[in-house]
Amino acid sequence: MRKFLIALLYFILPVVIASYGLDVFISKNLLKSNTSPGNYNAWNDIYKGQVNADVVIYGSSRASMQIDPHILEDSLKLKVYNFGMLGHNFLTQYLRHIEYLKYNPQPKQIIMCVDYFSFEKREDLYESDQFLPYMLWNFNIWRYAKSYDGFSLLDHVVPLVRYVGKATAKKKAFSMAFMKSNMKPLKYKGFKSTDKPWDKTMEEARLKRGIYTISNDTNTVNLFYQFLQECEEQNIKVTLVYTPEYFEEKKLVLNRDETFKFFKQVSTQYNNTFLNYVDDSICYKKEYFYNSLHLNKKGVDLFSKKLAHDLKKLDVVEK
Amino acid sequence: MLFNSIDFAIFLPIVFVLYWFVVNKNLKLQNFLIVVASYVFYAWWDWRFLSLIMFSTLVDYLVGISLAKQEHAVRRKMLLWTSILINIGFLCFFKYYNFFIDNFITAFSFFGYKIQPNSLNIILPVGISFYTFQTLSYSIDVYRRKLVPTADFIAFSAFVSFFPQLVAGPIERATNLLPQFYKKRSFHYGKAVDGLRQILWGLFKKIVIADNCAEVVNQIFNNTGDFSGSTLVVGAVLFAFQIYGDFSGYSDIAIGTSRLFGFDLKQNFAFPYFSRDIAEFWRRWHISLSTWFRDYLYIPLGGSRGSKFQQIRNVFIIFVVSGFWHGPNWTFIVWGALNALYFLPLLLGSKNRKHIEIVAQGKWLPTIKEILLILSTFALTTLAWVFFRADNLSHAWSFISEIFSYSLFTIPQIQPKILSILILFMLLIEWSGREELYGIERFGITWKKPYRYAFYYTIVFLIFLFSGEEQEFIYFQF
Repeated sequence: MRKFLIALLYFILPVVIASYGLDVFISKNLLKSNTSPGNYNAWNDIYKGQVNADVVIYGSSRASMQIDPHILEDSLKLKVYNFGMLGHNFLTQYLRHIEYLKYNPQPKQIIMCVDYFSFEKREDLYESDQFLPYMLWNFNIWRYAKSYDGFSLLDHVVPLVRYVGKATAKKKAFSMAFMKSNMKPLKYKGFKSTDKPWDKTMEEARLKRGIYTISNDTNTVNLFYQFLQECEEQNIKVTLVYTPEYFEEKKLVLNRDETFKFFKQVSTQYNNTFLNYVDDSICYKKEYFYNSLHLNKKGVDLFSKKLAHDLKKLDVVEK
Repeated sequence: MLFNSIDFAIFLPIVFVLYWFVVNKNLKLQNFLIVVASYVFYAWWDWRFLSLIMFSTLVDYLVGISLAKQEHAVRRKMLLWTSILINIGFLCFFKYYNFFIDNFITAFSFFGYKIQPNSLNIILPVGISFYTFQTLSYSIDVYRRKLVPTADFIAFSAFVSFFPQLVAGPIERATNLLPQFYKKRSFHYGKAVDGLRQILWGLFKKIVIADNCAEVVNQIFNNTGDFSGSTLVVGAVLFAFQIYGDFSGYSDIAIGTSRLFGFDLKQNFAFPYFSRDIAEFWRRWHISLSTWFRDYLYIPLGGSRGSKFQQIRNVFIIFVVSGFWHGPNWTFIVWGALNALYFLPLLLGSKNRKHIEIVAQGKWLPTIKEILLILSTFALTTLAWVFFRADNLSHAWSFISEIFSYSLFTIPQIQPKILSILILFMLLIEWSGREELYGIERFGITWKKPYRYAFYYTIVFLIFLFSGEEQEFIYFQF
């Protein structure tokens, strides 16, 4: 038995040592990637302390794909960064928030895009590959991502374990290491608009789901209160924004009114502005959307200008 | 719990340490640990079905004890049938109930009778087909007086639920495995190292070959209408390697794991894709199931004795039942029947035992004739696999029709180059180790340690590099 254990140790030891090196190699190359879904750029800017923004935008895809920082910057004469996360609710948006504050100077203003999905928790960690290069020994990620399927504590503490089964990420890392990539970053300061006409896929999926009631995750709601409280204490102004959605979307969710009441109530409680665009004229024109929840480029341009104008008019952004 | 999961990577060392360092001085405790570990292993999937295994274990244990005490022929037969009916009853209910109901309804509606559908939403307990056959073999062997029944309930429970082979075999015979639970097991260095080596090779076949083939195979089989005949051939060939890598990989991990605990399980795959005819293929593919059907079905039916009609009947019965064992779908039945058709000319021409030894034994390369025989056997097998993989008979038919169309002579739309290199790598290794029990048993064994280790590290690296989404073993569904 002793001989076996020693032989096993001799065999495993180089694997363990090499695994750390390989982990660093994969992670370093992976975060060079500019390719889809383009999440690494935002995370890199956060962890390298390169955000340098006066105004930051939080939210889901309804933030990252609907508010153009260019337009806001031109209008407000401030530096703007869009931190919207595709397919993520407030739990992981908050993770991004604390990581951002940990490595960067705090912003003056947060534009918090909210909707009735903000507190509805999905089971999987959407586009989980974006977290991989930063996960090892990062206990903030562990704390906020552990309630999702797919990762365990081992992924956060043992090198390479989180890459087991992540074929696309490994492929991407090796191709970044050994092949020249001329791809430009997909996003500008976290933003990318979608220039396409109405796409039926999402509409079909939502019709398939039928009329439903949104159920909020209590922990996420509490975290939202905590976030507003912290921002108040740190003198960061928060403006809640409900970005446009195609008017027919309204028919699908039964407890919409409760959602709006909630956001009105918290904005009053914390003395924040709540800009609700759900009944804006944009919402009634299909030509501005590519699906019921997302504006196309034309819609984004129009809405971003409108938002910049309203922020300016209400003087919610401090110079 | 899957062999290719992190859970198992933690579970195995814990059980290993407890087995060899904590309870190593007490055989009964070692067996008890195996039972507990096996139940935990199974409960990881669904604890509710543990009761089925426990009940099956209890029934066959009691039947065995009663058979030993009973001399009356009719009562002995009744005891045996009790075991058969309970075990097969569970299997039929969980696996085949809906199939029979649906087909009865279809048959009656054909004659104009309308019957209200009464299908149930039944979950198939993982491994039921495997442990049912394993416990049945015990009762039958005791009935045939080939085996002395055990009075040791813990040892018997360990035999039925032995975790390395509980959910997907190899289906062990009580005559081979049960006595190993009676003997004190001492740790053997060579055996343990060999076990680890076999696990490594099993993981390679499962994770690198099977799981990567699965991605392409699923794409092709799920969108058959979008692809040319040549692409469908690629899909069918890759499925042949997927199912081989998946199932033989599982068997290698199961056998290797058993060796770590001092047990010897029987070889389940003996390089079947190097077979020169279908008879040889079936002697080398899923050996534990083929021999089970041979001993408990084919031979009692008369085997290859009797008239030509009886021989043909027996071959069809064994292949069709074997197909049906895989699942409640006509595709499996046709797959079995097709293999019977392949087998018949060999049986009728008394050529079914022509190729007993492995091809090109003692030589580096096969002859041209042998290569052609291997390729033709592989082609026939691959064609049959289409039925095995297809969703239903019309899917299989449209798949095969497209293969035999003009589009067969076009360039495949999917050309998995890296995967082809990996398959070639596996085949070369397996070819070099075809006279052994598994591919890398003796591979590089004479090399200097650094070179041999470099080879193992390469395998480890390939497993890591090509590991995709964790995929279940195909045979779990059976």
